[in-house]
Order: sequence, then structure tokens, then C-alpha cells
Amino acid sequence: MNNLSHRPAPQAPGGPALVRWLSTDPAIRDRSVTDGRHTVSYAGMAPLLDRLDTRFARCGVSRRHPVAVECSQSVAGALALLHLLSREYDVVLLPELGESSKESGTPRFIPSFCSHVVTASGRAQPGGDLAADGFDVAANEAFVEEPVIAGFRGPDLYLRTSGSTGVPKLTRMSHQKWLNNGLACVERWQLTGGDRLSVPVPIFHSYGFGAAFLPGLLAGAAMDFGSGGNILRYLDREELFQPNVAFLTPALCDMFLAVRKAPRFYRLAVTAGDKVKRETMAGFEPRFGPLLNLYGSAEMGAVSAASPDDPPDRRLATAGYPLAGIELRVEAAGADVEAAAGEQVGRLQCRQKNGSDGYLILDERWRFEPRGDGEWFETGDLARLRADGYVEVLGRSGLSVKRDGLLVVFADVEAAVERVEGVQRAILVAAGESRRGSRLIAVCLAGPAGEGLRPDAVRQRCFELLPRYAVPDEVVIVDALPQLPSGKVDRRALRDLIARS
Amino acid sequence: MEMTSDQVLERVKRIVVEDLDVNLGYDDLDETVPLFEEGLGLDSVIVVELISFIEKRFDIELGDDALNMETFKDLRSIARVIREQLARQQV
Repeated sequence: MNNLSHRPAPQAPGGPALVRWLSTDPAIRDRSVTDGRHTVSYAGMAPLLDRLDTRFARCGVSRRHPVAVECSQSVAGALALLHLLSREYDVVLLPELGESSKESGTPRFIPSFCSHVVTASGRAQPGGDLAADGFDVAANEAFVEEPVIAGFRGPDLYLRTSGSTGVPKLTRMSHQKWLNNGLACVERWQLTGGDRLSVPVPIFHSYGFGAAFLPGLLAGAAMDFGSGGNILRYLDREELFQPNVAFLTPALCDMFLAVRKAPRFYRLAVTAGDKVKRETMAGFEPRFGPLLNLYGSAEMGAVSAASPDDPPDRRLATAGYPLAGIELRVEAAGADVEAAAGEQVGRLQCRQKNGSDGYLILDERWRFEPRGDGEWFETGDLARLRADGYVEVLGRSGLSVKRDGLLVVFADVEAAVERVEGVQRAILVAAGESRRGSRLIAVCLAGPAGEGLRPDAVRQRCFELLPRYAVPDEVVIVDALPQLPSGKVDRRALRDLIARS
Repeated sequence: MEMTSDQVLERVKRIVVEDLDVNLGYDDLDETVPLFEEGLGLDSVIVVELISFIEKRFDIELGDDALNMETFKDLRSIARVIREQLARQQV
């Protein structure tokens, strides 16, 4: 067990002080946030937020009950968040339901304990009156007062977690804690008001909200929410907005490498979500600038991140070191795991001081599952803590098996299989037993260069790329991988699929 | 031999129908229908596939100045940019 020395989280300006500072500081007030359709300066936000107050009052919104916000990737979404943060409402942060979801009949998820729903739509007409057209405020018809909520001190922010069971589950974390965590990101990446942040990652998920949007506000930086995950739209917005900092996903990093021809340097780019392929990391930096891994979750916010000051080889291999206010340790995974002197490999646990976190879970009714102050949180990930304090996240701790008495981490095998020519994505599934232990099946998604990809040929290559005990027993080629709503691969569905066939 | 614009367009359509992982037939491919969202509904992953197939099948390189929403507005516009690129590479 290791207890890394750490510094306390910095204290960020919260509530009304944040907007007051943004809208009056002469160095910041003229900087803007934009989505390509609307652009609002920090100075221009204050009167828009005041008008939202009037709308809230007219609709009978009060601080006594949480408010759900259906947020879009837009200036309207950013304003709705800033409004709820600065006025210290309890907030349930949800994505706006897109047109396609509405058509396909995806049900709207509004927790019953929210008295009102604010919909901040990205579809408001350009050039129109954003305060009037960008927001819809309505009473929640299914509203039921929940005693469990009334006992909280707040103001809190609730985020839906991906959770694998399908039961609605929300994490709770105080505004102040998110803001302090955001300020820790500002420090780590040395963000300043002079930076221009491209934010294609959703500001209604923990990564985009906690590690991009809030740090952007706290740095008083210009931000662009207009690009989204489409590389062409991204390039259009990049040309117009001229960002020097980007918040990307591994998929976007791969798209940069796949289609861009000329180098285009960023002061830094952050990536989070899934693990970035080592080849992507290595290919990205010489053409686009430092690529910094971020590790975090809806439960803890940003946990660990690389810094632009880190040497490139350390950036390539790790998710940096813990942010201010965060402690990490690992619980040993077993004596046979390969670890160099001073390193530890095992289940990653995380601790954060202020605030009391927990889950709201919907069974018959909403109930709260508290987690005491300063308790260690199981991240569910397997990690290597290095002697220098840097952390390598190896994969989900459930996603590893023993073969020939040795630990096989799925993420490692998947990364190796993905190096096979023509394989775009590989997911390892354990099904049954083999002579070596768990039987491993590599389910491979063929990439654009993967026409005629043959299972036996892929497996053959694996012998060159992996130690024998880690070579999958079988390779299956598929056209598509089942996905969770979050866009991550639905491993459970894939396992069921393999079990049936 | 220079390709006519109809030939280029036909070849782009063939890429969409035969190479891309989308459920579209030739009948769906009106050359002025937008590629994204309410049009053909191509998503961000498929766009990258489309770009790399175009570069492979036509043996051209789409420079950064061609990689924008304007070029990929619809199939006709893509075909026009491909022809320009082909002409440039023949010189």
C-alpha cells in the first residue's frame, strides 16, 4: 500500500462570485464563448443570466428542489450551467434528447425529485434572442418531493453514471468540489485567460463538464462548443476559432491522424474516456503537439492527468500524476504480477477530501447510498503506480484473467491485437475454459484497410505480438460492436452474443 | 483519360454503397442530399472511412483545405472536389 503525498485542492470562486469575476475583470470580460451560431462575451452573460432569473421566478422555480437541466453542446447549454451554478441550485445534469432519439421513442429521463426541467437547446436560431429562444423552463409533471433529498446541504450536482445494471443511478458531488477540481485542472495544464479552448466533448458528461468547461471558466478563457465529434465540422470550427488547447477523445485523436495532412500545433490537447492506443499517442505529438492523458470519473471528477511539463516518454506511458486534492493507492492484485522495484500494481483506489459523495439510486423510490468523508473509493480499474508517483491505468480490474498462472490484462491484449494490420478495434471476451485457464476470444472490428481480414491470419500475427499465454484462443471478425449509450463498447452484450453463437 | 463528372459521381456512389458500413442503396443516393444528420445520416466514424476510401480508390490525397463541411455537403460537391484534385495531379 502506498500513500502518495499530495497537496490540498485549491479553493475556486463559486456561486455569484464566479460570474461577478468573469463579467467585470477587465482582462476577461471581453472574451467569449461560442458555438458558431451564437457568441456571448463574459460581460454579456450577466444580463442574460438575470433574464433567466426572471423566467425562473415566473415558472415558480425555487432552490428548495433540484432542477433538471437538459443540456446541449452549445452556448445555451453553457449559459444554463453557469446560471444554475452561480445561483446555487441543486442540478441534475442530463443530455438534451436529440431529434433522432425523440423519433426512435427513447424515453426522456427526468428524475421525479426535480421540480422543474430546463431545456437548453442548441437549435436556437443564430442571431436571435438567446435568452428567449435558447431555453425552455417547465414544471416537471411527475414531480414528487423526496425526503431523502431535503436533508442535503447542497448545492449539489448530480450526474448519471453509466452503471451496468440499467437501474438509474446518479452520483452526487457538491458544486464547490467540482469547481475546486476544475481549478486543479487549470493548474495542471497551466490554463490562462489567453488560451482558446476547443471543447468538442459533451459538457453534460463528467469529462467535458469537469475537465473542460469548468476549467475554461475558471481560467477566464475563450471556449468553442461548436465542433462535436465530426472531424469535418471540427476542422471548420478550428479554422474559424483558432484554438490552442483541445479536449479530445481517443476517437478524435485517431481521426486527426487518419485524415489530416499538415501539422497543426496545439499548446496542448487533453484526451480521456477510453485508453489511447500507444501508436496514436506516438503519432499525434510530432504533428499536433503534446497529448495529455486524463483519468477520471463521474464519481471523482478529474483524478489524474499529465502536465505539459512532463517528458514525452512519461506522457506516452501514463495518465500523469494525481491532481491536487486527490490521493491514489493500489490494493495489491497478487504477488505474481510483474512490477519493477518501487512500483505497485493492483486495484486503483482514490480519495478526495472535502464534501460527502454518494449515489442516488432508484429502486421503488430514490434512496441515497452515502460514502463517508475521506473514504477510499474503488475505481474499478487496474493500475500501476510508479515509483515516481505517475499512474498507468491498465484497464477495468474485472477485465483481467489468469492464464498459465499469469495475469492477462485485457487492455494489453486488445492493444496488441489492434496493432494487426486491418484491425480497427479489438475486444477481448472470456468464455469458458482452455488449457491455459480462461478461454479468450478476440472480437475484432475490421477497419477501412481490413477487407478480407481472416481470423486465422490475425491470430497468427498475435503470436508475434504477444507472449504465448496471452494469445487469444480464437479470433472472430465482426462488422460492428454493440455500444452503450455512452458510446463505449457494451462488453456484456458482446459476451452474451459470443455465448449464444 | 480524364474521368467525366458523371463517372466520378458514379464511383463515389459505389464507395458509399459497397465500401462503407452503411445501410444505403443506390436509390437512396440523390447527389444533392446532405450527407449528415437528416440527410444520408453518415456519422463521424463513417466520414473518416469515406475520406480514406476516396483517397484509395481515386489514388488522390485530399488536402486539409478540402477537408471541410463545404466539400462534404453532398455527393455532387465531393465529386467536384475529386475532379479538381485529379486534374491537379495530372499536371
